[in-house]
Amino acid sequence: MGKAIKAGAKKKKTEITPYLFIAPQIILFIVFFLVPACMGIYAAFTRWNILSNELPTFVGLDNFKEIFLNTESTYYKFFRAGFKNTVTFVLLSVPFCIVLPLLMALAINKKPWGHKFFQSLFYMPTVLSISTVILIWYYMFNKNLGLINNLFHLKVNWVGAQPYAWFAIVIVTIWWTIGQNLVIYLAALNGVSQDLLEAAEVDGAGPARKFFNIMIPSIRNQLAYTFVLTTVAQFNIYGQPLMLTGGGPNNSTNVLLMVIRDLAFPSYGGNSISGLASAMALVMGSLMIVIALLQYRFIGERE
Amino acid sequence: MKKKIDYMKILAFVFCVILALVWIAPLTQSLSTSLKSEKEIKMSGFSYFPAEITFDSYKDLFSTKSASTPILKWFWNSLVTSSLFTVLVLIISSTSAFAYARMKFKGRDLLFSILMATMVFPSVINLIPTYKIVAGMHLLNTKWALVLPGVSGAFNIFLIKQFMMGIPKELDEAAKIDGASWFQIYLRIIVPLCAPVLIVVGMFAFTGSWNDFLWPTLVMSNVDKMTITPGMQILKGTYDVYPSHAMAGGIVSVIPTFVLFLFAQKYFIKGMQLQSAVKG
Amino acid sequence: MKKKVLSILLATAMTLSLTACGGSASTDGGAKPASTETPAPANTASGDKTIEFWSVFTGGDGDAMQQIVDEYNATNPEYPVVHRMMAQEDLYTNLPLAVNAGTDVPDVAINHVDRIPLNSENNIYLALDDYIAANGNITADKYNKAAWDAGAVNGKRYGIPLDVHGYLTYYNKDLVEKYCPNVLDDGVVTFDEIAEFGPTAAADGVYSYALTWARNEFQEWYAQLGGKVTEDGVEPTLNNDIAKKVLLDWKDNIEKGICTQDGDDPTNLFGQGQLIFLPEGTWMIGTLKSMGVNFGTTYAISYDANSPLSWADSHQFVIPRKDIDAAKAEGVMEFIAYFQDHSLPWAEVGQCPATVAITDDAAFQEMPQAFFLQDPSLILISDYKYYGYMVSALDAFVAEVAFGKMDVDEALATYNQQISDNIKNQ
Repeated sequence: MGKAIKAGAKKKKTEITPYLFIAPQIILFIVFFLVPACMGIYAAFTRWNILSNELPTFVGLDNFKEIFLNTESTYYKFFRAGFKNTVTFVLLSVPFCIVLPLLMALAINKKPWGHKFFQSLFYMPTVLSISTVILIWYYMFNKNLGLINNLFHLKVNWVGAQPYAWFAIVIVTIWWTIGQNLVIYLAALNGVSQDLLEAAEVDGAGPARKFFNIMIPSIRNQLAYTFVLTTVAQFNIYGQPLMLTGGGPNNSTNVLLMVIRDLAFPSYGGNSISGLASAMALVMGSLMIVIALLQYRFIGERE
Repeated sequence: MKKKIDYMKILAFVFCVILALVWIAPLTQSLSTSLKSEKEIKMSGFSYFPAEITFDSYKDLFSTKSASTPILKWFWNSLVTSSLFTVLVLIISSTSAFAYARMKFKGRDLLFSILMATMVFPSVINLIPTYKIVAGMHLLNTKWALVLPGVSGAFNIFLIKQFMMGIPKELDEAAKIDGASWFQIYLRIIVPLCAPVLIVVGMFAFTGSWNDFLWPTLVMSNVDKMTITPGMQILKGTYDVYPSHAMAGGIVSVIPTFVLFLFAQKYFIKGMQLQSAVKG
Repeated sequence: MKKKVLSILLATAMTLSLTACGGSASTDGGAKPASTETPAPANTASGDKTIEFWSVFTGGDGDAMQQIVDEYNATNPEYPVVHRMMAQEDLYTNLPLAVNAGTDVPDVAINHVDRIPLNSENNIYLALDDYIAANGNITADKYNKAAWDAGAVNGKRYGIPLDVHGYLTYYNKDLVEKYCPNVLDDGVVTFDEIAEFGPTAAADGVYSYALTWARNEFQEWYAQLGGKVTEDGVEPTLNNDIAKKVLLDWKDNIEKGICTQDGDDPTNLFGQGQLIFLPEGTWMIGTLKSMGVNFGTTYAISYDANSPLSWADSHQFVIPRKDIDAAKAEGVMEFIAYFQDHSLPWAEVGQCPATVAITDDAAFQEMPQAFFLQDPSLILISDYKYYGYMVSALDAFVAEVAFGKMDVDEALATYNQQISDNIKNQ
């Protein structure tokens, strides 16, 4: 009897233990993720000045009508522009962020003299903060004092004129982030079967054929994974245009996160317009989810 | 045949050298600028190297005179915040991952799937409400505003859990027979075995926290409580006027993550590879 | 069993400690004077005995303010001051939050005078009239009129001025001698005069004037031509022919090489002797001095030599809305009054202290910015409630149009409407 009760009690305790292990994370997760996520979705349907004490006022679909249908509204214009600019950046940067590190990985994988150094060097900028990166590059791009114009004897206004402003933003992005994909590809190339490569060589396959017929298929998973991850990451572009171009010229680099932040936290005063900002955020977020899912799906089918 | 391979190798080397120049140039240029005097920059325009090397900008940055750009204080704040964040991430993620990886309980798989699903949830939606919550808890301008919201990230749990699943279950069973509690198993057996993945997660947590930009600019307003990454923006604000000081500040701000990188680069790189391995 | 209990305790303790630390951190943040520069006051034990002071100053300004605060604390006031510096955007986000939450509210803060109309309407401040009356030492005659007047809204006083800081024109004396020796005889350089000597200078690769902070320059020239930013105090009225003229004239001068080009750094050009007139803030005086240029200062470049309206703003002391006991409020007033005679360090970083005692001081009279306060009617200080939305819009289009990157009609229509939309949707 006594033993049975004791065993029962023991069993009950063991059931609590796992929850205690996950409790800290779950509590923080609820407070700092779940609640704000729900609030963020709800806020998109309200008018809300977050700096005041007032609760959000429910306005139904008004915010979405404003940004999607009201062609007279400046929010319509700036949302569209912000959206277009964000997508432009994604399209401009993602190919470079996939292809360039792949080429670099191939080169390093050849184990040229100093390859360890190159690998470390190319990876290094990823540990820098965005504000330091921009601090460094802003000076590089300076029209009169910058290294680039002086080295090549140019008079290009890098951050103030198109298409140079996009060049500048993409160059900085590549320099800053490419290391992550690089090491993923390096690891992947390491795993490519040497037997296959040697067999191909015996068959007289050139470097190009080896690359396309053996290497690419072998690292397809990693390519796909980095493709999804890079795309989602680039949608969150914010710091580069904010500090490099300020959104100009002619709003052409004013990306969606900047539009959202300006509405919710107006930098020069005026009340916060967080309802509309949340609606924009929700649209952007939904699109990111859809793209991520589509990409995963696409990969899944290939597998 | 051999000659051909060498040819490719040389090509690879040249390619790497060219890129390396592009990678290094901004760094050396910043260093050179930080060693010039402001007057030299203002009066003589561009030059590759300082006409006269001076450490004045560094001295100014570290002099106690400047209460408005207290770089040392920012540095200290960042160090405290990032260390605290790293420790909390390691504790919270590893206990949680331990439960998901090694224990059986009701709702485990459902909870874990929910956690994983949130990884694709875009943080932009949370931004405004999280600010409101942090403000409501009166945490603005405290280090907890920087630390708490990011600590519960699902990706760390995922990485650690994957690693823990690779450890043989028999170890737990044996320990249980010896009368060890779950907590002892966690602390004495699993955590030591997980050291590699914990190092990786810890390093990413540290650099991530050190480099956090948008969030700290929202929640830390007091200049003397600010961390160094948003502090750099204040320095950049003075850039037009004082480029040498700004660059000196930039260089100082990268030292910790740079040193961490130099010492632990193989782990960094392993960490990235680990990511792709679990995912790919 | 014991071990299990221990593990449970540990896990709960961890969660608890988190929340507990969070709580303590917040009170900590409010009461503890964290600034190393502040000499620890004898009575820090009771947090109530210190004045929490938020300012928008970073850089050299912050250091100068800290110096004055330190000097004030050295006089052993009953309520010593703890000075917290922050970037202005941060202060303006956090002040309403703190006031609405009712915790960690500073006892006194610096706000730009252009914030006062909207913030007072949002009930962010306490009206100061009673405290001023109780103190008796803070009276209109001791302050610069333009700055003093700007601190009141609808007959209630919310701000007591610290300074006037504005946009003036620096000129390179050597270049003026070379290209336009007599234009400054009346103290003002006009666009008509620039049109005469500008092309000669441009031929030598020397710019006559510069696009620096476009929003301020635009506001000056727009006002000089009689432009109004609003008619009824609410709706913006920027979309008109005056604004268009200002922008197109500017664009024209940039195309002719008379005004600096996109991407140029005007301060450096001025330092290198490639720019005659540099419109810049009073706060740049120290920097320009350190560059060793032989320069002078005057009013804004003008359309009308008789009315060189110059953009200005004013830092004002405000008391955020909170329960403040009369004794402490009096302590705040004493602190503010201290600046009447002791803000010379503030002048040394290029500001114009708003108190007559300082501006009459011989030491100030010798400073390059001293002329700026002589005629309050030439100072342009905004009282537009939605100044914040307006300048965000100006930032977004003025320079873009002037540099020919944006169509003038479209820009004026779009951004005038943006301000209007923001007002409607706030």
